[in-house]
Amino acid sequence: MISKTRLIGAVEIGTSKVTVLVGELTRGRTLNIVGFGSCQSRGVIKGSVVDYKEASACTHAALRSAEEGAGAPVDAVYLAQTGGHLEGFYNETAVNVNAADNCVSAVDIDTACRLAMAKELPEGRAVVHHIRRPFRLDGRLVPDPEHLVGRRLEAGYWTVHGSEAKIGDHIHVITGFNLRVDELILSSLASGTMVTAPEERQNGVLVLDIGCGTTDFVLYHDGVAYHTGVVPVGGDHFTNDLSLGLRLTRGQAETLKLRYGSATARAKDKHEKVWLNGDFSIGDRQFPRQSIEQITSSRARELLEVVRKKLGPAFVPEQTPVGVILTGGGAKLPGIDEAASKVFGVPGRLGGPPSWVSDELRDPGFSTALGLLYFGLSAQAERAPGTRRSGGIFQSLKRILAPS
Amino acid sequence: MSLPAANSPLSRSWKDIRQGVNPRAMSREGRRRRIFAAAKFVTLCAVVAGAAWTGLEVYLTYESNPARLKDAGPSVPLKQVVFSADGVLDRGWLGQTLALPKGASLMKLDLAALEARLLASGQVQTVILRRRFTDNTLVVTVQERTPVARLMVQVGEMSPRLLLAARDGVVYEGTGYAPAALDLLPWLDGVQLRRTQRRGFEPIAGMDRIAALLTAAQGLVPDLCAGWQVVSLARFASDQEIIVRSREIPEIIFDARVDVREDYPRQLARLNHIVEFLHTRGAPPMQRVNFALGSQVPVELQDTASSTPARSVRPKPASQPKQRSDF
Repeated sequence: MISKTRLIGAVEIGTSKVTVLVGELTRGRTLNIVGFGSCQSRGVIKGSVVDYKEASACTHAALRSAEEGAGAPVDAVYLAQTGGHLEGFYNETAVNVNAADNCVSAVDIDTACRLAMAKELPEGRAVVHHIRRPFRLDGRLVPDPEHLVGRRLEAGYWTVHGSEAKIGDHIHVITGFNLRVDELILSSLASGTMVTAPEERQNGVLVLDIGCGTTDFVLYHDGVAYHTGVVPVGGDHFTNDLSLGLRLTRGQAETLKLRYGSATARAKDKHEKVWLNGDFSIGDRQFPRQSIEQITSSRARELLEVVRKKLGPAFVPEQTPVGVILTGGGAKLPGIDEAASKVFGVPGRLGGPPSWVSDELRDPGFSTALGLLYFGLSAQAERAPGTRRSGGIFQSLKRILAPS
Repeated sequence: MSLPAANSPLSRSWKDIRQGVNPRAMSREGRRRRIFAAAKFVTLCAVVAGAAWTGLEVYLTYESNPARLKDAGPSVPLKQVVFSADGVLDRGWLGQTLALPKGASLMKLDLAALEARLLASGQVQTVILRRRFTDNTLVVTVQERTPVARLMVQVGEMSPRLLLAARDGVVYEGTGYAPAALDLLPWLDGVQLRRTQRRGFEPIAGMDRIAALLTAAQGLVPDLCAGWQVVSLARFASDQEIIVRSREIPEIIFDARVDVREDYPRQLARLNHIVEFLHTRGAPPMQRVNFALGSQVPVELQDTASSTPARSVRPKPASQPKQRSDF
């Protein structure tokens, strides 16, 4: 008998850590998180694999740990994709409705969609996502134009693409564990789906996922992702600036950042100093708190401005009433919401996972992994309009015979 | 439409990236999982192939020689035969009748043939044959016929042989009965046996009524019944009468019609009453008594002087035993 339960692994190979969540999917509807594994990342810089063996070793360790927690091997993987190589563009097309009575048919929709997705990419680039924006029928927005009457149907896709080689490196880390990648999901889409409600996405919201090496962002309008992007700057750069500015090792700079770093300059007293270790050990020394805050806040403002610049005209504060939601490990920097609010001119706040997420997974650093499961399952359920499940008994047989 | 949908080339997707990886690039755990998956795949293929091969073999065998499908695989030989009967048949008779070869396989026994062999004896009414695989045993349960009367039959030039008639009219050669027990049975007379194609005889009609009469007699008038020597069906077909010849009364005629068959106890009670009545009056022995005339029961007494039956007379007081009396 074919089992109705699948174990799906959500894998995020980040710059600072590898996170694996195992979700038990029952009958394609109910999802329970049954396993969790995490490991300090190695061989990954700015979201890209630079040392295959190191990256494989830590990813496989996290996968093994998650499988042990779940008590069963994972069947397939949803993999998060980030990195500065990812880019996006918008392409739209319009078709005249074919029928004599101007009633839109599935063929019209399919034609418009295919044409909108048919833009050629440069050599060595591969599509990660085609995100469809709402259809326009004679200029009006319609979520599903089938059987509606109109003359001109417009379809547009935000296409996210990346370096085929770098995407392949990510995938091969997983296949090196003899697992298949079922879905490749942009990190920003995963975390964005997790920290926003459908109403917020409908009204307009910007989500920033500040990781260690990269910052992923996604701008939602009309319930769909209008614009996505990745900035190869993250929390690691705050540490790096502190290290250079205060002449510290990276470890010491990381400690200071976590203890005293802030995205807004709060210290009023120029002479207020803080201890590096605070344990009176040999080599322990003091630093002006204002200096630390100035360095981190400058970098934070710079990061946010880069994002704003990259969004360009796509970001209109009036069309983003919900504001900016920040998540990811970098969002734990105090005052980051305030800084984002100033830079973007809209309200800023920290994003939290939904209430059903257990306490140990409520850290903003897990929003991507959680979102992978959530987004992956939603995407599989929705798919493109007009597509049908096919295969039946032959697909079932193929699944049985296919090596896991 | 500016361009047919089928002609729109889609860009290369991440799904086009080959997911396979060189085993050398896999981690140890990955290789272990790969081997396990390959073993699982091979096992599944073997199971599917085995099932397909078995199906094909069965189909081909069915096409060429369906009888082979009925043959079971080699099984252990028959260990013992358990026999139970509700009559006089014993294991010796069973062994002779079944004639099982030595070392016969339990599965290869043809139960239908064995059953037919057992039923060939008329003494066997029903038989149940059952294989018991737990201890490789053949269980034989036999229900026997009970003889009601005996008859001596001579076929052609052969010497006469003793046969028995059961309640259902079946005539058979009795096996295992004690001679003393057979001597208690009355002889059957007035029947004409017809041979069947299987060297037996057709069942005798009316035996059920004789059996009912004898059963009632043994229960109600055992002393009288003990003297019954011959039961005759000579007038059964024509007049629905059963004639009994006993040591005391040469001819007792019972009414055996279906609607009055339940009347045997009354007829027997009357007989008993007549016998006792005549005995107390010191009357001569009866020659004939007839219960087939309804409420009138003519009794003919023996003429002790001439040893010829007396003529019928009007009923007189009981002190005149030679007269026929109505009871």
